[in-house]
Order: sequence, then structure tokens, then C-alpha cells
Amino acid sequence: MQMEWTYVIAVVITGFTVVFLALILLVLFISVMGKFFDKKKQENSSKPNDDETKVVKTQVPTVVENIVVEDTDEENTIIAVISAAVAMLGFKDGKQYQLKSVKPINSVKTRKRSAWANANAQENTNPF
Amino acid sequence: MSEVLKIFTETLKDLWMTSGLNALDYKDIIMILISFLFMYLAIVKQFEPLLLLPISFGMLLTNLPFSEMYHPDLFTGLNAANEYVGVNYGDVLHDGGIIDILYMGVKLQIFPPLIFLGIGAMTDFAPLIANPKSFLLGAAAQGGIFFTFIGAAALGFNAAEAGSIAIIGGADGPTAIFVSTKLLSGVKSDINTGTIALAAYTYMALVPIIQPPIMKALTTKKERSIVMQQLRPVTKTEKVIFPIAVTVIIALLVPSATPLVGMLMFGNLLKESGVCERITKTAQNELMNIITIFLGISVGATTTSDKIINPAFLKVIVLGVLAFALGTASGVLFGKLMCKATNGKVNPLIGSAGVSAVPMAARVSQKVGAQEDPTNFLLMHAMGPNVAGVIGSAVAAGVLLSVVLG
Repeated sequence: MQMEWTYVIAVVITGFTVVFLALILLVLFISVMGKFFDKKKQENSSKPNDDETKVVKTQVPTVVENIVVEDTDEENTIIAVISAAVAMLGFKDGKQYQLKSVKPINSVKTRKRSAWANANAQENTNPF
Repeated sequence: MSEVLKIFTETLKDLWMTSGLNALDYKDIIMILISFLFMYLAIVKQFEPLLLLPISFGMLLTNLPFSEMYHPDLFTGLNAANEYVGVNYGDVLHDGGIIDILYMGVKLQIFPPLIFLGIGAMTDFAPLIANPKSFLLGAAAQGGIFFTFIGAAALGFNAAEAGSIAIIGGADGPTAIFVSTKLLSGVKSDINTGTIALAAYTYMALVPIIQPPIMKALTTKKERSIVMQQLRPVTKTEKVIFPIAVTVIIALLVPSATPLVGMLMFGNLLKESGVCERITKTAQNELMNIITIFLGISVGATTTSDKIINPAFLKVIVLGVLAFALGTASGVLFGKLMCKATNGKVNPLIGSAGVSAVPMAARVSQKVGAQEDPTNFLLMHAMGPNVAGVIGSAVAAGVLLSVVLG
């Protein structure tokens, strides 16, 4: 049985309205959730973290010793690993190096990729 | 001696009478050749091989005379007086062949939600959570479904048939199977789930060919070259809350979409919770693979000659490509609108990824963008609308089911 055009138009309008309404609700919910977590993250990052400062400012040999200490904080572990790598460099040429700061490259302020990151992304997306 | 000869000839005669060769007519031969074509496309051209190969082999099995693996009569649900009384599954179990029994999983809408469970367990919704506005592109690309509904109505299809054809525009195989099975149950029609699935999976494989010309025609070089800001990192807590929130919101708003969205989000929650590693792996691999085999071969078996060699199938093929094209165009045009609204911060090419077809459509956005500027990486940005398209098409499916079935 062929459909009446009023019914067809009603289906199309209802369909679009409900799909957009449902997804707009999701946009609102996820935006609010994102803002809440961003705020929480900012609050956490503004609090000084004694352990982190200690690791970053310590001379390289001391940092290597610090790695032995069990640390559940993932960020500190990564910094310790970087410090260890720098320390290895020092053992090779007999000089001492100090790790002053570790900054995330994906921060909001530094959105531009480095040439190396660009080359890596290009290689990874080439098959697509 | 003459007795032996008589038995010999009679046996040969009986064998000939019961052989497929005797019953083979031109329609069966055409269908067998079509199944070979789809096997070629799946194996040599690698067109969605995981589903097109089982579908094409199911098509071969069902069109070999006397194979007795699939009996369409068992699923019509009609009684002797030609009235619809529903499928008698006892009869299917008692008299059916192996494919009849597997097809019950399609008919009872079990397989598509289970496929969605696996998809959910494999999908990373982080790009969508990081940029929730992508949901709007996923909604806009569903235009392919609703505009095709108008086209199907113009070609004289009834509401159930038009809804089944239109859902091809959602570019989501399990959703198309789910909707067409439900809508076409008890409806006397020249099309069925098999023809819809065949068209849907063929066009999904052709996304890299269908989409780029439309994307280029609707955008300027400047728009295609827009570099989007990197996405913010998403916390684990957000990833865990996301599937729960989506399930609650969608299930309350469009309950008929719950089997698909609910299972998709359940799979995702298993993955993101990080506490169900074994179950997640099963959902991603073993379960997904088993259901894919069952779904593919049983849906393929429904493509009998009377459903394929008729004008209605040609119309489905034409409307199917139209659905994909309109979905792509709707997504890109909405992307252009977002580009204008954000003062050029959104590359409209990511809009085409809203048609679902994960991750193929997102790859196409990346590829077309990279043709203008090889250092422009749109893949992660396009994954947002792409996964939003999965949710969007499931919601659109729910709407079609509630409107058409009443």
C-alpha cells in the first residue's frame, strides 16, 4: 500500500527532530561533564605536589636512586624514567645533567606539532 | 544380467531425479553467478570481506537446488488461510536445516545487538567525548536515512519497505539487518533482509569511492585545508561515565533504540572499566567472530532468486547509493555550517564521517584532507562524528521502528 505524502513528511520531520534532540541532549551532558573534569584537573594541577617538585629538581644521580622507591603516581614514574635516561647520558660522557622541567607537548597553549611529531603522525596515517 | 541392468538404470534415474542438476533453472544459475561475483569482490577486491564472504557463500548454498539448508516458507509466519500468525519456531527447530536454525538469531533480533556489543568493546569514544559537538555531525549525516525514505515512497514502496531501504543510509550493517527484519516481518514484499544487507555491505565497501567526489564538490579548497585544534585528553572517569549516560539518555528518549545502543554501550563499558579484561577480549574477538559468521551466512541464505531477480532489488540498489550520497552530503553541509559558526575552526570534511561505517568514513575524511595539505591530520577529529554516527543511526533506527510499527 502506497504511503500518503503527509505521512512521509511527518516521518521525516519526526525522525530528524528526535535524532537531533537525543544527540543534542548528549552534547549538553558531555560538555558539562567535560567542563567539570577540566575544572577538577585544573584544581589538582594548581596544588603544589611536593613529591613531583623533589623529583624534578633533584640532581640526576639522586633521581636514579628515587626510582627504587615504589611510586604509584604514573606521572612521577615517567619523570623518573626520563631522568634515568638523562643520567645514562651523564655516565657516558662523565658530565652531570639536571632535569629542570617536563612539559606536556599537547598542552592547550602549544598546539603546534614539532617536525618529529608531524613525521610520526604522517607515517601512522599514511595507510589510511 | 538384465535384472542388474534394470536396477542400475533405475538407480541412475533416481539419482538424476534427486540431483541438483536436474532441478537447476536459469534463475538458480544467475544467482550462483552473482554469488561468485560477490565472492570475487570479497576475496580479490577485499570489499568488507568479513561479512561479504559469508553472505555470498550463504547465497550460493541457498540457491543450490535441494540443499535443504534454508526454507523461506518456515519464516513467512502465514497460516494455511494466508493470514499472518507469526513464525512458529517449534517448526523451524523440528523441520529446519542448519541455516534455518542460525537464521532464528536474525529473526529474533539477537545477532545485531550482539554485534553491537563487540563493536562497543572495540570502539574508543574519546574523540567524541573530547569534542561533543561531533554528535551534531553524526545526527546530520542521518539525513541520508530520512531523505531516502522520501525517495522510496516516491518509488511506490510501502512504509515498512521504505524504512528498511532508508536505513541503508545509516551505513551500519547490523542496524540495517535489525530494522529490516523487524519492519518486514509479516509484510508481503519483494524485498527482504538479505537484499537490504547485501546492498548495505556492498555500499559500505564502496564508501571510499562514493564519498570523495561529493565531499570535494561541496567544499572549497580553503575549507578542506582547515587545520583543527588538537583534542583535549579525556580522563578514564569520563570514559566510564559516557556509556552509562548514553544508555540512560537514549533508552529514556527512544526506547526502541535500546537493544542496539544498550548493547553498544555495554560493550564499551566492559572495555573502559578495565576490570573485565577477559570478557572484553571475548566480546571483541571470539563472540564477535562467531556472530559475524552466523549472521553473514544466514542473511546471505535469504537472498533467494525471487528476491534478487526482480525490479524491486534494482530499486533498492539505486536507493541505497542515493542514501549513502545524501548522508555524506548532509554531514558535509552541516560541517560547513559548523565551520561558519565557529569562524573556520571546523573542517567540513569531518562531517562525511557521520554516516557511521567505522572507521572507513573517518579514513576517507583523513585522505581527502591530506590531498589538500599532507600535514593536516583529520583522522582523530573525524573519528568523533564517525562513532557519533553509530549512535545516531541506532537512534534513527529506533525512530523508524516506533513510527512505522506504531
